Order: sequence, then C-alpha cells, then structure tokens
Amino acid sequence: MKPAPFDYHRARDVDDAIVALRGHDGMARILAGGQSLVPMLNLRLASTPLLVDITDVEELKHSDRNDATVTLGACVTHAAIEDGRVADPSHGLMPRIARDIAYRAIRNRGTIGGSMALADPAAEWTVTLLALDAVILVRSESGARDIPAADFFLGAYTTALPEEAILTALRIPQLTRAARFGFYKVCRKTGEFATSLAIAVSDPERGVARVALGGTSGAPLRLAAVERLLSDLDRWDDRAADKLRAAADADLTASGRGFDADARQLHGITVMRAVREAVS
Amino acid sequence: MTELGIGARVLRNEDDRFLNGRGQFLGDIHVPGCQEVCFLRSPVAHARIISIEIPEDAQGRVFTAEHFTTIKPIRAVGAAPGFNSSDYPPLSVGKVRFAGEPVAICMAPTRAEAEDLAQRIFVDYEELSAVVDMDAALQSDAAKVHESWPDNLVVEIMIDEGDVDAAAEIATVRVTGEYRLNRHAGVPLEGRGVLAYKGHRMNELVVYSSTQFPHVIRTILADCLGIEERLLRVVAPDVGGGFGVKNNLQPEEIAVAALAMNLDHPVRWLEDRREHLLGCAHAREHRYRLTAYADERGKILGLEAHIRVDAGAYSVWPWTSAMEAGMAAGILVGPYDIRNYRARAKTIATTKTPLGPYRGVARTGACFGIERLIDDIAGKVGREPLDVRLENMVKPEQMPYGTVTDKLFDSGDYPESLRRAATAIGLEDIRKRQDGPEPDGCLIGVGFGCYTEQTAHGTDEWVARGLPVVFGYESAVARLLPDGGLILEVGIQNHGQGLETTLAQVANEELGVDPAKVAVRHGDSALSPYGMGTFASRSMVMAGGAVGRACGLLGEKIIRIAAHLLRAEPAEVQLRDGQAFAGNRSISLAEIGAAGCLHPERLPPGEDPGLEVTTVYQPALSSGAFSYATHAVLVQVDPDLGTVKILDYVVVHDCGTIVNPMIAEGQIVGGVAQGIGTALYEEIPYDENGQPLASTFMDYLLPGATEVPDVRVLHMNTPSPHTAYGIKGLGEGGAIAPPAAIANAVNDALRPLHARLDETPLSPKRVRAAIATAAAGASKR
Repeated sequence: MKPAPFDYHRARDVDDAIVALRGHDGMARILAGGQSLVPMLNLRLASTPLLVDITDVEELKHSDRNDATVTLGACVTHAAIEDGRVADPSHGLMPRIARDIAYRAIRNRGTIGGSMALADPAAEWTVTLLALDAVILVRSESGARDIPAADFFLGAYTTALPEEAILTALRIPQLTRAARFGFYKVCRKTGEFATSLAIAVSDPERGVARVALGGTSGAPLRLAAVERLLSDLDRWDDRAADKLRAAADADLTASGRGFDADARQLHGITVMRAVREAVS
Repeated sequence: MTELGIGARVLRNEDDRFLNGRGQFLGDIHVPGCQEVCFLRSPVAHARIISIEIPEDAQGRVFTAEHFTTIKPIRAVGAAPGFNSSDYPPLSVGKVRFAGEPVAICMAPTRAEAEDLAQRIFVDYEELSAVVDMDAALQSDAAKVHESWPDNLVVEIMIDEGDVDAAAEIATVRVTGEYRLNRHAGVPLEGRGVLAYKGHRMNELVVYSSTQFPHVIRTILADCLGIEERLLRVVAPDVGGGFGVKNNLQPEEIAVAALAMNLDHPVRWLEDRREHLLGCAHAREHRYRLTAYADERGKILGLEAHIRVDAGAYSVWPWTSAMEAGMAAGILVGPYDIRNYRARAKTIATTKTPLGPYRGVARTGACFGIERLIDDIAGKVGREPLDVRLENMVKPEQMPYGTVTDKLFDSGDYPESLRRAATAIGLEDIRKRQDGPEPDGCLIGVGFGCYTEQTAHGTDEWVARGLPVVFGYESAVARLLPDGGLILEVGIQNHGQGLETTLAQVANEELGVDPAKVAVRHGDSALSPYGMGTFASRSMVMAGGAVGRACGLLGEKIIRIAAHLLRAEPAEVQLRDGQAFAGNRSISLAEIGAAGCLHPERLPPGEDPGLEVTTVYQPALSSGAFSYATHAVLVQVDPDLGTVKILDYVVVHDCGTIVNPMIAEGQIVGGVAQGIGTALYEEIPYDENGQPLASTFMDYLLPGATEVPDVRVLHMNTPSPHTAYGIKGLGEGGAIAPPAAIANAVNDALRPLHARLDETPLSPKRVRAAIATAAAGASKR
C-alpha cells in the first residue's frame, strides 16, 4: 500500500496551480486534504504523474460573508466549519453536518472543495450544498465559471468540473433566521460513509423548500414531490408521514435509478426523518 | 494474597514502554542494509499459472517458487481417518487456489519500489472455476480445489453417543434450525511481519517474526528450510496482538527466511492491511443445522448436528484445516447436560483464503448454534429462554462432570452465572418494559449466551486431537541477581496479555519480590528454555505454573541461605516485601543474591552457589481447566432501518483464581469487543468468481470505541482443583458468546414482527430483509 511514483508541486497561488496542471494528458491531480485521494494512490487504485498541492494557497482558505451569500474557499476544512471558524450561511446546519463527517483526524485535513470535486455518492457536502442551492466557483486558463450545484453533479465521482480546472470556492445563499432544516444519516458505524442521508431545508420567507438525498449509487438527488409536500407542510402527524413516504417513493421512481424495495425503504425513512425534523 | 501478588490490581510493567510509544514491533526494528519485500499475490481465486514473466532488469530482485526448490511446503495433516492432505506452498507452484495467494517476492530498497517492481511482473493465468460456497463445493459439478482429491471434502467426522433415535422417539417437541457464522478476518492492530538475516557471529539465521510461538516456529521453520535448529534463532519482538492468526506457520515466514539464506543482506516484509484481509488466515465461517428432541419443558433429550466449515484452500500448520469442525462438534453441547448426541462435521475446501484459529476457536460458532437453538426451543415450548437454559444446564452438584463428548468440566456453578446475569441485566424489568411500546418506535430485546471455555488443555487433549506438536507444558527460568532483582525467562509470548506483570505477580507470591523488580524475558528462542507460546487461553495457567514452581524451588534455596545468614531455622524464615524475615531480624533479597552469586563463602556448608532454577510445569490433569460465563445483552432495534444498538452488556465470568483483576477485565472486554465485531460488523463476503468483497477498511467494518458499550464484568471465583493456584485461562472467552447473545437479543426484539435472523453479522440490511420477509409472509397468510 505505497503509491506509484509521482511528481509533486506545491502551488503558490491559483494561477500557479493552473499552470502546473497543464499538460499531463489531464492526468495531474489536485491534492487538498488528501483524505480520499491519498488512500486511493496508496492502494494503486489511482495513479497520477503529478500532484499539485493547493493547501498553501491563502486565497483558498478564506471565507467571506455578504448580505445574501457566504463564500467558502475550497480548502476550508470540515473541522473549520465544525468549529465555527468560518462564516455559516445555514444557521447551524453546516456545522452539524461537519461534526458528523468521519473522524476528527479526517476532518482536520479533509476540505469541502475536495469533497465536492470528488463527488463520492455517500459524501455529506454534495447533498448539503445541493440542498442549500450553492454555486460552485471554478477557474481554469480560460477564465472563471460559476456552476450551480444542480448542474454540477453528473454521477458517482463525476462532476461538471472541466479538466485542468480548479474548484476554488463555494458560494452559498444565506438562510433567513426563520429557516428550518432537518438532517438524517444512516451509516454502519460512527465515522463510516453514509448508506443513506437526507437533508431538508425550509425557508418560507425566501420560498425555499428543498430536500436532497445522498448515499445512492449516483449523484445526489433533489426530491421534487417531497419538496412540494414540504412547502405546504406546517405540522407533523401520521397522515403527513404516509403522504411523505408516498412522495419519496414517487421521487425515487422518477429518478430512473432502479431502486429496489430495500433501498426504497432505507431512503424513504431517512427522507421522512429529515423532513420531520425540519417541520417539528 | 499479598499486596502485589496473585489477586492484586497491579499496574502493568509493560505500560511504560507501550504507553510512551517505545514498543519494538517489527516495523520499529532497523537493521543496517535491510531491503524491503512485497509479495505479488494472485488477483484471481483459482487458476493455472501458465507463465511468470520477470523483466530482464529485475532479475535477482524477483523470486518465485523456482528459486526455492529445496524448501518444503507447509503440510498439516489431520489425524482423522480419510483426511485429504495438501501442500500449502510458500509461493504458488503451478496453480493458485485463492485470491491473495503469494506468487512471487519482489525486493527493493523501499516498500514502494518493491511494489513498483511487482506491478511490472506479468503472470499469465488460465482461470478455472472458483469454488466459493461450501455447500455447492460438495456438489458433483463443482471444480476441484485439489486435483488429487476425489472431491472438495477435506474430512468428515462422526459422533454418535447415547441413543438419539430413542430420544427422538419419546420427545414431544422437535426443533430444527440452521445457523450461520460468516467469514471474517483477525485484524490485530499490528499486521504480520518477518525480518531475516544471516547472523555471521553465531553462524545462524536470525528470523524476527510477529508470531505467538517463536520456539515452535523455529522447529518447523528449520524443517521447511532444511537447516539444523541450532543454526536458527527466531525472535518474536513486541507483537501487536495475535488473536490466533499469528499462531500458524506463515507461508511468508518460510519465503522471507529462505530468501535471506541466499542473500548477503537482511530483508523484511511488513504485512499491510490489504494483504492482511486477503492473505492472512481467516476466521469463522461455520454452518450448523441442528435438531433438538425435547420434552414439553424444553429439556433436551437428544441433539443432532450437521456442521459444515469452509476451511478455504489450504490446511494451516499445526492446527490443520479440520480443527474448527472437529472442535465445534466436540463442544457443541455447551454447558448443558445432553447425553444423546449425534453429529456429522464436514471440513470443506474452497478457493478462499485458508481458515485458521481465531480467538474463541470453533467455540464461538458452536455457542452461536446451541444458544440460538435453546432460544428456539424456548419459543416452541412457550417458556422464558432463561428457564430452558436452567432446565438443561449442568448443575454444580454434578461436578466434576464428564460431557457426552468426553470433556471434563472440573468445577463451577454454571446456573448461578446465568441467574446473576439475568439479575444484573434486569430481565424481569425488561419483560415488563416490552409489554408497552418504546417512545421512539424502536423495539428492545434481551439475549443470553452461555458457554464453557476449555483452557490450558495439555497433553491428553492434544494427543487426542492428533496434532504434530503436543502443547502439554510450559517452562521457566527464575534467576535472582546480586542486587535482589529477579529475571524470569519463559517460553510463552506476551502480545497484549500483560504477562510481564502477571508472571511477576506470581513471583511475588512465592518470593515476596516487588513485581516492578522482575524482568520477564520471552519471545526469543535464544533467551529462554523451549516453550510452546501463547494461545488457547493457556499462558497464565501454564507459564504461571512454571514460574510458580521455579520460584518455589528458588525460594527454598533463598530460605536456606537466609536462615544461615540470620542464624535461624529455615522453618522460621518468611519471604515478603523484598526481604527474608526470621522473627524481628531480616535480610534483603539483595544480600541473599550477593551471597548466592558473588560470595560462596557466605553460604551454608554444602550449599552450591548460584541462584537459578529451570523447570517445567504441566497441570495435574491435562484435559483442561474449564472457565465459563454468561453474557447478557439488551439491544434496541430500529425496525425501519434495521440498525441494532447495544444498550447494556453484562458478563458474569468464572476463571477460577484471578491473578490481576484489571488485566482479566481488560481481556474479557477486549474479547467482547471482538465478539461484537463478529455479531454486527465484520464480514468478508465473496462474489461468484471468488473475489473477496472486503479487502480494505472501506469495506471491512470493525467495532470502534463508539460501538463497544461499557461492559459490566462480574466475577465468580471457583478455583480449578487441578492447576497451580487454581487459575483457569480466560483469554478467548470474551469473544465466544457475543454473537449468540446479541443474535438472541435481536431475535427477541423482532418477535412481535415474527421476523427471525440466524446469520452473522446482523447487519442493518439483513435485519431489514428479515423484517421484509416476515411481512411478506404475514400478508400472504
């Protein structure tokens, strides 16, 4: 479990990293927290001619808040979000999600940008930022681009991030003080990747009712039927639970992913519990 | 009991080096000029090797079986008639039989470069059908793992005692169940490792190995390498856990040692975690089809068993592949008074990693089978499972009790451990609580697992099993130094058991020496008399007995010298607190040590100089000291998700005289943690091509700190009548009952849903499937 040989470049700034990525047949890889990439390299399940380390790039560690949004640099760690060391657009949802990612040792190094760029189907941030309707900021030699989260995730480990481009930051709309959210995650044990996780966000002042599901075999899903229910739901009861399970089931069918009965049961329950928390 | 002797809660001597990160494991040993090796392992389960292409520039750095033609393979032949034997080559010869089998060694200055080299070797495999499922392996159309055998059956043993047919005739209740314990890995914190070099000064081959039994490894390794034992030194340095998987002759030990014989520099192999999950002996994988014939109270009149064990591709030395099935059949009746018993136990070869001993060896499976069956009987006769257990259990007045399979339960009160466990877990309150719903919609259930643990079995037992080595004794040297310190040299190997402390406590019991002033030397064939190693819950009994005996004999001499120096009669002299007392006069062990080692003129007339005793110990009765326990667990099941949470866990345990309760409790809790792994998390499933589906910790789950509850350990103490100090072993026990107790508790919780689950690990997916199956059955009805 040692990696095959590779070159290493420690980038000074984003432009330097972009220059370094050029060539290599698109096989150069960006190293941020390394919590997924390094084990993959060690197992020789991935290889690269060049690692471009961006953890020294100050710009990527910043966070900014304005009236409408919070922008988090790609190299902001899970631990920084957990500890409230960066601005929080979500009134507590993001720190709570962060606290639940893997183990503290991983959170100390793992970054939100790395998690988004890898797009592991069981990862927390992909689902969270889909539910928060974030925008992914990308830079490459051809300039800067903004990609809405809804367009970013194409499948398991597949994103709209162009080759030789760098995910630099995430711009996240701020929730109002009246916003409510719910989060439910199922994993085999503490620190494991989720087998199912759902996030529900309700912010009536902004007309927001979003529900996102992860832990499937593909990209995180928005659940349209569940969201319509959530926007009308003001209290939780058994009837709401039944309607919600039916809506979730309809959404899973609509996804065309061929979920079997057990997956429908599992995801249906996590969605229900996330929505219940958001409403209760 | 003295303040620091047997029974005292003494802090461990080894804590200082381990807790300060100064342990010396295989990875910490640096020998100048050492090169690292990695093994190229088969990526396929079953194939003929057509060719192995080694790049021209890699010649002399890559080695296959062709380079070691004089080396003998591992050959472990069972004693049972009809045993089909096979060779387990250190490097594949002509064919590979499991994914992970070592095919070649690659050597380089660093491990990364060795792995680069491995990637450049091309092996042409002609794939053969994999043999994956043990029951399918016995079908006539299954591929053969070993061509020379008639089929894939290694051996089948039969037991037929009493009269099962007559019992079936009069029984009013008949219960049949199929219970499965699936395959997993051992996963000690430190993987395996071997470092070998020619030691020119002593003209010997030095082999460091992360092993549980260095002396025995020297014997068999010398045989495989074709060298004299005196020219081989085997050292087990600090070993980071073994759990049985380091208690086999490893193919990698042979390969690395053979390589070092042909080189002029040291070589080292450190197993990584992926190799461990693929290539190190696996654990468990038992299937039981059990039928109980009982009366209306649930008293078992007869028991019938069909046991199958998937032993994987090869037979491990010295245990053989037949050990698991044989032991499972031999111990299946558990702590119960069952006189009519018929069993067939099949050991089956598949194209999977060889199966080997793992903490609890076979008993974890047997306990799972019989304890699940008892709960099923209780369900059938409508009684509390606790009461059905009490109905069947061997009573204290029956002790000593010879089982139907000729095991001798030496002492104890088995029903009392069960009653105390029921009280401690709060059975009556749990039953009341189950009458109403849980506020969160979850279900709760309580389960019990009872077992006996044969420990420190000696000559008779190992002879009966027909092993190539009879692990009947342990040895010890006790040596008093001129400054009053004591050195103990023992043939066992301490890899987490705290033996550097508990053996020192035994010395304190005999000599009054402070355990902190005792150095326990072990794990090195050059450092101590021949000994068998640490496994089978034997070291405290065996090495404890040997140390006690050596110190007792040494103490007699110390007393004679002390009496002479104190001008007293030997009968007046007492040893305590590092001194010899006679009335109000005393003399220190240091003064006695100085007299014995440096000043013969101070000795009594006729007394030889020297303060050193070498001796061995074997228990008075070699059929084993039987520890026993009841585990009781309260679980919560979320029926929507299938998740299981342990709310409370109680162990009521009797291992006779306890030398150090802190260490005993640590052993028990550690065993329970591993048993929780078997019950809920650990599994290596295979696909239909024989590919293991859990080969990294991404897919292989271990219980962590958050998954292991605060286990409440309650002690009973019934000293063994047959061992020194009445000690019984306890190393494995904690890992025996958790799968049984937890599965019983989960099934108890699922009872309102009519769902049942008889397979480990009880993963959320399996729990959900059981609930869905029950619901589908109900809707059909």
